[in-house]
Amino acid sequence: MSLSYDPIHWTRYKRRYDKVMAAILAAFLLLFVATQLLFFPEITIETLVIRATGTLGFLMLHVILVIGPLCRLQPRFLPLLYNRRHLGVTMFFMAAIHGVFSLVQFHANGNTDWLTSLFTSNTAYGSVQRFPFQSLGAGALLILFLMAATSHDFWLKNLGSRWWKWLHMGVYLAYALLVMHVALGILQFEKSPLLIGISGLGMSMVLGFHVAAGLKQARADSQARRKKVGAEDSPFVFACNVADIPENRAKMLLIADQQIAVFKYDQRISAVHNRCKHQGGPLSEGKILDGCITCPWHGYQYLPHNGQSPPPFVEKVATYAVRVEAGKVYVNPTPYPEGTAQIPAEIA
Amino acid sequence: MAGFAGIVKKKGVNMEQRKIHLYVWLGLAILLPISWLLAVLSIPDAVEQEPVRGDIAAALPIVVAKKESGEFLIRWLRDSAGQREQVEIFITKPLESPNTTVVLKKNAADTQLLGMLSTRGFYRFTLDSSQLQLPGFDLVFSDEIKLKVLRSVPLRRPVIQ
Amino acid sequence: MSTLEKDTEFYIGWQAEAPPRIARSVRRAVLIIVIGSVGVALLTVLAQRGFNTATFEFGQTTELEGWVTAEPFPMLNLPGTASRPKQQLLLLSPGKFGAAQKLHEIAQKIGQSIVGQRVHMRGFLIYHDGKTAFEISDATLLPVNGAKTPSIPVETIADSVCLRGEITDPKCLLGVMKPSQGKSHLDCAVRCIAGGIPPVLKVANAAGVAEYYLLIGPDGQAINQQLLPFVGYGVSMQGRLERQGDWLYLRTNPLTIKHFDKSMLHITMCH
Repeated sequence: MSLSYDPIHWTRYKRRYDKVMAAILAAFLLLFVATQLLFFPEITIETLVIRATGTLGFLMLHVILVIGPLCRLQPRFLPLLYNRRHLGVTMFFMAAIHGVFSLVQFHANGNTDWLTSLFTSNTAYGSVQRFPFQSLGAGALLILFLMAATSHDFWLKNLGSRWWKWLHMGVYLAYALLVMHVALGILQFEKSPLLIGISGLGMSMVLGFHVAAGLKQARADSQARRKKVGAEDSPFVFACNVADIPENRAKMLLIADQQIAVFKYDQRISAVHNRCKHQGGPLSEGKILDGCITCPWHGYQYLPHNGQSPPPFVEKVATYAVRVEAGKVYVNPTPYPEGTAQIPAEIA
Repeated sequence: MAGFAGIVKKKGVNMEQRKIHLYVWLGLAILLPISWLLAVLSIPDAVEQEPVRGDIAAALPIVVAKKESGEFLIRWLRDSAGQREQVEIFITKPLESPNTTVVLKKNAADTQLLGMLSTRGFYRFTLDSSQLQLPGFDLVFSDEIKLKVLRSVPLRRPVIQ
Repeated sequence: MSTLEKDTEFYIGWQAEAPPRIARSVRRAVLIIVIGSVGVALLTVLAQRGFNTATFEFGQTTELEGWVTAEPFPMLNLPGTASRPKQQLLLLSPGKFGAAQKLHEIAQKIGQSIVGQRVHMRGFLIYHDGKTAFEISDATLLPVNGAKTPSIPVETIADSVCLRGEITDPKCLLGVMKPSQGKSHLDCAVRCIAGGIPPVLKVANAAGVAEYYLLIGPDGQAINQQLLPFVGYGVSMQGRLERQGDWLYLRTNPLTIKHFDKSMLHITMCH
């Protein structure tokens, strides 16, 4: 929430996350290289680097892509999500080593420059079997580069979280390109049923988690939808029963296309816009800590009655008027300007 | 009321993104496995054929002695009349030296250059008339580029009791 | 009720310690990631086809004396003696280039072509499966003493043979790269052959016993460019099979080359 941008805003959690990540990556590379040299000592060093970093990068991409839907299916895994950017940037470096070594190995030192060679050595785009799989990898690497290069709050702030999210959804395209890069590349050469099985399993896992989490979210969204019933002259809409909201937690509602997080705390009810100003995290999945709504994604905080971050921070979210009558919560879905104070509804 | 307008403009961003995520993944869940399966089904078959080489001399019918040494299966062959003799070498694994020369060595002073070995398969060398009916000899495999002996294989005629 | 509502625990990234249930879940997930990573590392390595035992003596200079010939492809002809047979080493330039570049460079340097000359040559050996190539570093002329450039007789093995195999470049195949065949190496083989490295057809049986045929046109001309679309895949081709020294040559019309598929197994293409 600071306004200056350190390269990395270190916390103890991030350090531990990075240590565990580095240990797993080192163990993977060590095991891969040792097994390779033990069973296939004839391998060249270039091929060893290409295969080790390619396999590790692709594996990391699977983990990165599964963490998101896993946390939506089971929020207890959320700590895995917090520092996912470091995992993503490291994955890009693995992919970059794989790509650069492949470019030098297969395309450099020839009768054309390496980039021309990459796109002209094989042009059988009309054939499945002979499809130039390296261009798929190059496309994915470019997307991953753009993502890694903008993987910082500076870009998040300057591009705006919406555009930043759109750009970072490019990882889905990169993933699809890489699945095909593998299927049309190394699987065509190695032909091993085991490798085909592993890559198929990985793909099923990523697709399965995303579809399951997406469907769950769609169900939850449809349950959260409230329609205006009753008196036309009152702007207030029935939201839920007071008893439906756990203490210091919220319930997300969709009223007239507004996503509203209705919080219960200290015998009061307040409602704010559901979207965190930082990365668009769902505030309704957060908790009131030290009197502040705390975003579950990165801990950005807002006061529930006015949607303002406590000083010195400046983030603000829109607020909504709330009423409680006979144990029922009613919300006016017309948002007030960001940071507008509301009188919290007292739970009688 | 700029803030107000801003909020109204941004309404439902999460919902919209979530819907797009779901549609993107539903699309991928259909298209990606199909493309992947197409790729896997088009994995090329191994292209195999018995390599074609020039003819080599037919093997003489009687085995005088045989020996296996490293990647070489060696037979010392002769005809029934004892007029012709051969050394047959079968290479079982790819040779990994820049030159593999075979020399028949009766003794330090008396040798016959048999020839050079190349790809896997059978090689048959006819012995000079001066080398017929020897009690034994050594086959010396050497690398004449690196000037080193790769192996020396003694072949001895069995003593008939 | 959502899972979150059932949970009273809440954790944000900047907190030093996660609550016990969340910490337990995360530890479990990390353990699964570790086990998965170990499995992927081991299985992906063990599922590989493996590599050949070919050798590229990069950086390890060998010095040889012999005659340079250029047709159909540049060779260093090592003379025979009483204890060694003649041998022809396929000459190559550094990088993805045939011998022409380096021969030209040496000719510029010493003021005359070394083709047809007796030379002292330095370079790196590349060898596999009884076939040997030589990457030229430099060469100097040796006195000829009235001797003539050796002429290597051409022996026709068959006027027409049909061969099925894969076209690749002999530089990678004999030791520079592993793997040196198939789709993962395809672009490199294209670059090498486009750069003038003699194309080679590798024909192997199910046991891996292989033979290597250098490919030339019906009149002995280079057909590198015409072969590029066929590199790296199973192909079938027809031609005249010849032996010259240590090397087999297939004189083939590039128009007879076909991408191979299983249906061709039943077609008799050669008469």
